[in-house]
Amino acid sequence: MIATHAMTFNGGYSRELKDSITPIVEELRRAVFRLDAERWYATSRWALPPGKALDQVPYDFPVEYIQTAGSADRLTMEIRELVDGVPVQYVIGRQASSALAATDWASVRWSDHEVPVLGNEVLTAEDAFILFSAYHAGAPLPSGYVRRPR
Amino acid sequence: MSGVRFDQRTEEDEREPHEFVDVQFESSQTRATLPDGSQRYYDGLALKSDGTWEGIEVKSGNASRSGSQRAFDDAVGSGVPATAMLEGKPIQITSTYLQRVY
Repeated sequence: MIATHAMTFNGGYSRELKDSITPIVEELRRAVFRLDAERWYATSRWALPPGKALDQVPYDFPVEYIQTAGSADRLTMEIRELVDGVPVQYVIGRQASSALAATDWASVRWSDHEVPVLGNEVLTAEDAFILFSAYHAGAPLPSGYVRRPR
Repeated sequence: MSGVRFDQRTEEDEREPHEFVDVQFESSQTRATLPDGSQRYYDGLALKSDGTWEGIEVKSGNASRSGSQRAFDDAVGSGVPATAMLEGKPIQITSTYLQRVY
């Protein structure tokens, strides 16, 4: 099986994403549920260039990806896409409601970083798993979620 | 942080490559052989559900596989198993798993 996608962890380690050892869906689940904001604080999933293997792409290659950082109970998610050739970074949130304000600012921390997000953009590993799975399947943003350009 | 990857390393991570690997990992290098006699060393091995093994190749930084390594891996990937000895027993290697540390 030729890998078509890869995952990067903590910015220091990447590996091909394929089913040979662990089913991809389980790999995605494990990647987001083990986030603890310290030992495992970030992960991203991205597509390899057609016909290229992991060792043939530069570290700064992926311009389109889905990424998350934080801990399993409090994380932030972004999707980066090319729009007319220009990369645009979107922050993902739940559909705002009275309990999930889209106006109040909050923050998500990991390692020595902290990023501001809106209240409805503080997500959990369960959200991350849903969003990573949909993204990997090439599906649109699942219902119940919204995105805004960062 | 706008427009950048979250996973840019914030400090030097001193973990060894195998500490990131969730699957069974043999830290000693293992020599595999194809039917045509060509040989290749893997950095590790992972047992697959069908009883064969996957050879793990870990590259550091911008290093990439040599031409002979890639040719070997292409042969294995096309369905020609490589053989190796693991703890005194013969095994079949039927795929390659590339990983990279930065």
